[in-house]
Amino acid sequence: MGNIGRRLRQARKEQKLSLRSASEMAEISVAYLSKIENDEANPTLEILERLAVVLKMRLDELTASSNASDFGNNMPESLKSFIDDYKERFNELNQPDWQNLLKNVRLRGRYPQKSEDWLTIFLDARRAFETDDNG
Amino acid sequence: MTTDRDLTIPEVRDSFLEFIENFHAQHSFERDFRILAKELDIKVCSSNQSKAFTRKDGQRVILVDMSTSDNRVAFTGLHEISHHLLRIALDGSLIAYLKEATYDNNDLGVALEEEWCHEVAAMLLMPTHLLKNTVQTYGYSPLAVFQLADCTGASLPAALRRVVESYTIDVHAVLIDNSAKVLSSVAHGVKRKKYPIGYDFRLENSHPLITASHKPMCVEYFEAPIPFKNGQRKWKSKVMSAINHSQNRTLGFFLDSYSHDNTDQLVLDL
Repeated sequence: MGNIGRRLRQARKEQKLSLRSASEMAEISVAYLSKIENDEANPTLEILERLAVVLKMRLDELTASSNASDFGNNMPESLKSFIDDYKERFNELNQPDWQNLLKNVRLRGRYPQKSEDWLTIFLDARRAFETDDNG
Repeated sequence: MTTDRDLTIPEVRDSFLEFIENFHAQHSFERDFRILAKELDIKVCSSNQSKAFTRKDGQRVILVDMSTSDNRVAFTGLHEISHHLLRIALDGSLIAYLKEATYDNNDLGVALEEEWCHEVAAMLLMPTHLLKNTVQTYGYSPLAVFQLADCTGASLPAALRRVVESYTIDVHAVLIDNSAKVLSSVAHGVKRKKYPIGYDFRLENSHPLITASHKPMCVEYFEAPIPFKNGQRKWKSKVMSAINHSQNRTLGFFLDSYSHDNTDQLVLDL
């Protein structure tokens, strides 16, 4: 999560946006954006998508790991099972960036508990990237 | 249209103090930290280390060292509540702006928060209307400090800071016990703040603050050198001093001019 907070703030600074403006544009509170940037909150995928749009970034740029040693660290068991079950079907699941993106997802503040939930989230994110790539 | 600028550090402080004044009025100027904590749904626990934190389930908690004196516990409890108030103020945006302004200097952020929470604890314990009434009755003088401490249960050093730091008067103030030991001192104003007096040392027995004949509940006026620790600096000032016989404490204000000679000085710096 540390990488996302730092990247968000860096991108916001590059866009010369104040905390206040960026939060208004992403339709979240100043306090919540600050918490995300200071690694005190676990944003949902939807909020990360909104921030990525505001900061003119792709979601995978925002969530990609800058440090290979992050890979696999603190991955919840339910996500590990999902990746094991579906990695042959979806090649993206073998990529560290995708694994890190999913690792940072929370469903109502918690990690999804079932493989089906992970699958839904993964497919939604994949669709979002396809749209972004094409659009 | 958005204002593309976040609050600066002085703006965050001013907004926090303004929030506190309004908050306190809405809570009938309650000064008991236990009652305020209950009204804010903050859990109070006794501990040998005082701190404020929020549990993962969202419950706000303060730990207060209850083994110290009653007036110290009262002040510490309010100080710890102030940390939560900074996070509650304006839906958490003030703490967000503070973190943003001190992002590359976490130590500064922590130091500022401590300083502000100290200031806020003093405001909660000694509300502005009480301060104003006391200074109106006793003048800007050591007597106002004794009275403010007496009517609020604040310690004398806390009351001294509250009075001195609330007005735009340049002053060195010193609190001594009956053995001439300096217990606390404050330097206020741009010019004087550069030269702190220090504390935990004894004044020379010949210092006019010791030799002056203090009558009960009276302010004495004379001139004397400011008693800097180690005596390395020579600076003579006008002095207003008074003694609290029941507590064996003497308070001296070292000023450029007496406030009754210059009433323009008596502007609340709030």
